[in-house]
Amino acid sequence: MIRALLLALALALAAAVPAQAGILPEGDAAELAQALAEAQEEQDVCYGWNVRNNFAPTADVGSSVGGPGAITLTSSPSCRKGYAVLEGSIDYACSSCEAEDSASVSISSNLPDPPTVKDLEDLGLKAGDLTGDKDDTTLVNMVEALPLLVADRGNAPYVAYEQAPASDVPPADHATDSPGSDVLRDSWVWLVLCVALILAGPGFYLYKRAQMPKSQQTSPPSPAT
Amino acid sequence: MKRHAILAIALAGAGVLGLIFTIASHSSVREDIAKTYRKVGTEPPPGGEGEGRKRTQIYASNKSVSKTAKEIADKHKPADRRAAESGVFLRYKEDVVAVVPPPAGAKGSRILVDDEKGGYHRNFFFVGGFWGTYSGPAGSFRGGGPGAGK
Repeated sequence: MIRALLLALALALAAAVPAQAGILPEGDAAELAQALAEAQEEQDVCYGWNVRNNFAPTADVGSSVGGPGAITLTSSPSCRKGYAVLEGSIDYACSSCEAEDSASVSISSNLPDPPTVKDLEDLGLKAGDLTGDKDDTTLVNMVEALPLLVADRGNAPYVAYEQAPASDVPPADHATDSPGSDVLRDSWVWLVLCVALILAGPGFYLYKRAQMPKSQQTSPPSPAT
Repeated sequence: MKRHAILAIALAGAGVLGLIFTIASHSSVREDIAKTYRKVGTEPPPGGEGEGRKRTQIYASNKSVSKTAKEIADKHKPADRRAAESGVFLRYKEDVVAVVPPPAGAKGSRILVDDEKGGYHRNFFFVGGFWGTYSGPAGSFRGGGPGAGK
């Protein structure tokens, strides 16, 4: 009886939790659509995203006009200056396959000088990261960068930067996870090379010593006085 | 044998010298920005002044926001970065660099260099939850940090 009740409870909970379409949970998609709607208000440009995948029944879709789950920008009268949509595709390879996970993105737009995938890459946003651990943050960054790139290319004014007032930052909130050494991040190749040289010195000496005949490895005893 | 010993010492010596030079010649992102861009002001650090806090340094660039951010990130690889609708935010060990649009009517971009606490406070609307804790309405992508996975 108890087992049946627990099963019913689990099924009810599963039904209550909205199904996640792709890599972006519903709450994050709503937040992203809201950020785009605010950008649209300042720029008169509509934004959206449509990222298909091979692991969920539906795609990650949303826009500044219709919110999460809707993308009807081409016909919307509110997109006075135009639109820019991040289109993408994520393809996870099966665990037994030889092929690797892959992803690709493109930007569809009717703006005179639309942002490009190269612009996203210049910001450090690579399509391949959509198959990584931080796929959701990569998608959010890519989509949120669209209004910035649209302004950079002179299609619309920049969305004004707003500094957070001190009252809006909860005192308990703070940065976490150490970013690690800047020197290591910038110069790790040189540092590895130098350490390799340091190790190569004694290594080379010991190798050459081992190659020599035993009689030459030790210096002859000094003559007795 | 002596020749081999000299060669071994030379190799190790070159490594030690290279190590010293690499570490000694490394400049921080804060120093490089100060050398490269035009300084337009300073501000008290967000989150309150105190021991060890650094004042916010403000610079102007005549390049666009994304070009300026790329220029800085190419020279100094950030531990984490965030691209948003009104700026690009770069995180380093001790500094947070925000490249944001210029004041109304101006061209180019503005660069704000804060210490870690100041940068997190100033750019909380953009980096809050991505680089640390966030008490606002949370989404699951908030809560990362350098090297943090899902």
